[in-house]
Amino acid sequence: MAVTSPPAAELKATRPRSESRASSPFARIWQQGLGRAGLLIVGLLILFCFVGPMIYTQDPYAMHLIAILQPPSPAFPLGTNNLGRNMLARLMLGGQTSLEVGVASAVAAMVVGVVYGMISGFAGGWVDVVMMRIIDVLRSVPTLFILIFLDSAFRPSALLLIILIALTSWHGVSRLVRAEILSLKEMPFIEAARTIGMSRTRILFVHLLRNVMATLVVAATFMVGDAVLIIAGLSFLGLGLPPPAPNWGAMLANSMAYLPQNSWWLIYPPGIAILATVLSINFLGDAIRKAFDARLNTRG
Amino acid sequence: MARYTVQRILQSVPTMLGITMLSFLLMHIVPGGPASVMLGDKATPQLIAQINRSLGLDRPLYIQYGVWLLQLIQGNLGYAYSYHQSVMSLIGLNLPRTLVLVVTAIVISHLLAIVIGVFQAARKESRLDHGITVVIYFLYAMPTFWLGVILISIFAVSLNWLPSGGISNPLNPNPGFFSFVQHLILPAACLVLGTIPGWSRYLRSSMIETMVQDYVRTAHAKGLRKSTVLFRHALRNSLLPLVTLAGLSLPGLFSGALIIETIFNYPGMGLLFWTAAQNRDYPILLGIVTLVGILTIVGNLLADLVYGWLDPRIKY
Repeated sequence: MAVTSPPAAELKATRPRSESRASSPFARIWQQGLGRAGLLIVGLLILFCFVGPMIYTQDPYAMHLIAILQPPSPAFPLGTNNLGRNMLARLMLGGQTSLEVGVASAVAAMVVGVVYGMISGFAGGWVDVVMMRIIDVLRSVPTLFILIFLDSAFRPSALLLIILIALTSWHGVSRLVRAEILSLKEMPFIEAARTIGMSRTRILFVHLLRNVMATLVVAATFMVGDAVLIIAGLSFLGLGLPPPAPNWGAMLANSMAYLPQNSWWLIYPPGIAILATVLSINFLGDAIRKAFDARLNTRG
Repeated sequence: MARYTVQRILQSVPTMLGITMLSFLLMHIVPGGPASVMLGDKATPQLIAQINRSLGLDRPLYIQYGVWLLQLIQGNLGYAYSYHQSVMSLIGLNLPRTLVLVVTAIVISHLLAIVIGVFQAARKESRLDHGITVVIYFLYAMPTFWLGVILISIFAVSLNWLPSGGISNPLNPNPGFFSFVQHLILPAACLVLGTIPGWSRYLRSSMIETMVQDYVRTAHAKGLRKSTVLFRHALRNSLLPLVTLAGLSLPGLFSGALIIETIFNYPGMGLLFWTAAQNRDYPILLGIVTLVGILTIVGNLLADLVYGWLDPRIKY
């Protein structure tokens, strides 16, 4: 859903001074139950993936061939896979790749989407019509199909994969940004900026961009969740991130071959990790949206 | 109505052309271009040059596009070398199975989403409503592929109630309809569970909005039973936008079907696409990309027309 957020100046003006509400956006996120849960889970996941390996220093690549497909035990808290590799260590390392690539491709997609949407909304006229038609086309073909096609054509490295995801999932943000720019550019402060002879680039990137920031932060948050899902999905399908570095999607795909052995310890941890990531990011996104939304704020 | 229909159909033509252009573009950004698309792994520089000359690939791009588009309109999507068949005949075989899966899922999802949405709206802000919302939040974030793996591990492996994949038992020479339905249950359930969250949340808020309308209050005031008001008055008016929503969720449904068909080894268009990606059989990939895009547009078009037909308030 499109998020309408008023300019920051207006936000301050509508909030009564005497109100005891926290003023910083971070504090307003923290005040909400969902926001707190989201922040805590995201924090724990980051700790688990990035600090975890420093504390739990087992080698995720070492193969213990006498202990393959072992259920959880004190030696291997999350069991081992078909090559006798330590699943807890792999879950941590796999999380690093999944999260890093997820955040990177979300940021890249945001950049493409924001620039495209701003140009389309600001230019108006036939430029806007053509640019929106292009988005209509992209929206009709499911992203996953295009991604799989590109993936099979280029067999990408992690960096190229980030670019491919950015190139295929930017258009939602563009529509959002365009809609905001369309309404913002009729506002008096933009007219004022024009009258004093400010350049179009300056108006676009200094005045308009600053005012769509709230929308962008919300969209970017959700985008990270989507990107983590897309990468996990691609890796699950045997495309996506190249081996041998583990990632959650590929770990799940690997578990499928051992379903008949009922190896539940291979199925649940990576899935729970993906679910927790996406869920907490969605919580966070909702909380940020509410924190920025002045109408909701004044109503309490 | 007739005029609107024609207008709406004409409007979707540029988007369809756009999709063909996108496919044409994709064909040309493959390393080596369309010749290597056709040759696949057998491509050598000499062969590519030969093909380029004989197929007119050295001509300007717009002429190539025109020729390719004409072939497309005639239903010629090229030749799938990994299957030694035309792409069209392969799609003709696999598309109906995907449509069965997707349509089954759409119907079941709608029914369940309606039941859940109405129930939640009728008892809004109750403990049960909040409980369902939490479950739906989880389902919303649930990766389809993990759900598929879990369903197989529970219902096919542990309980052994249902087959884990395919569409027929290879040991049974004459499978019949019942066996097909048995094989359809898990993939369809997976797709349904993925679609319900969005739709039921939508219906819940749409119902809550409708229930404060004046005509609903009037119906209550007339002394009608609560269920009559819910289903005859409120639900009928909240249902309409669901038609549009179904149209808009088509790309997501096709993506879901792709992943699900791969997990459950269900021989539809998604599995065909995935296998073709492994083999780099580009004509199949491009044919399916084009077709899925066109199907989505046609689906949205139908949703719009059905909406106009269902809602007597809309006059053209």
